[in-house]
Amino acid sequence: MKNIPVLKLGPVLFLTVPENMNDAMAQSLEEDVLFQLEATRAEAVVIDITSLEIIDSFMARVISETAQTTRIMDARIVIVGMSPVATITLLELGLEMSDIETAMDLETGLQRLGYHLQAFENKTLDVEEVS
Amino acid sequence: MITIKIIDEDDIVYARSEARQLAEAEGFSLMEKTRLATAVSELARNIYRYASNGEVQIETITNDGKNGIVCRFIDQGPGIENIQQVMEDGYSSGKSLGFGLPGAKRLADKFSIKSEVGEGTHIEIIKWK
Repeated sequence: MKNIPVLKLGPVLFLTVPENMNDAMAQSLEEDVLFQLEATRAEAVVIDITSLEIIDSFMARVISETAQTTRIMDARIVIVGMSPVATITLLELGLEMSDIETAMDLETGLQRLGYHLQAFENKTLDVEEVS
Repeated sequence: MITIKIIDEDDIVYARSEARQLAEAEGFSLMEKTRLATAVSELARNIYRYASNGEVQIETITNDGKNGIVCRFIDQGPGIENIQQVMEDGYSSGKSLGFGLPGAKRLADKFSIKSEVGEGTHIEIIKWK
């Protein structure tokens, strides 16, 4: 199956996790993020999980590991779009993502990373697909 | 009854989306649908990971005027030697994680497991509407 596309917007890499993510895609997500960080020298990563209907223990572990390894690569990471039901289910499963920075939406996520949307007004940021 | 053969990773995705769709059709709340689909994802993955293949059966049930969904996870894999141990949080016999079974049990309303070493494992969960 196709990998999850990594988009670069200025110093930030964006990934949107698809609804039907299988284990192989989840597994490649971590590697893709790390290799793209190296290749692009991006400062931060935003992973959007809005369309993910459930987070099971495997997906939680992949997200958690990706967050850890991204920090080791000296980049910041924020997970955006956690749904209330996925959050409750995750805790009931016995998992927590307390070591991970999360935000409700992309805008808040970017602010959390220190980027403000005024930056978009000068139109100097181009989105490019890097993988 | 819906039967899903678990042979590769995409079958895990398929099993959880079938469970979710049936729960949707039965009028389950978003929270209950999500709990069911997550438990199915965990247990279908166990089949794939530990038994390499097996099947998931999903069907509606009625009891005392209550509507629910029953899911069975059947494999002829290696079986579980110490069920009590795998039902403890944090225990895992594989390289993965220990949360699969106790987590799925918490998400379901009823959870039962039968397993014979060398014969396989049969897990049944029920989620009431």
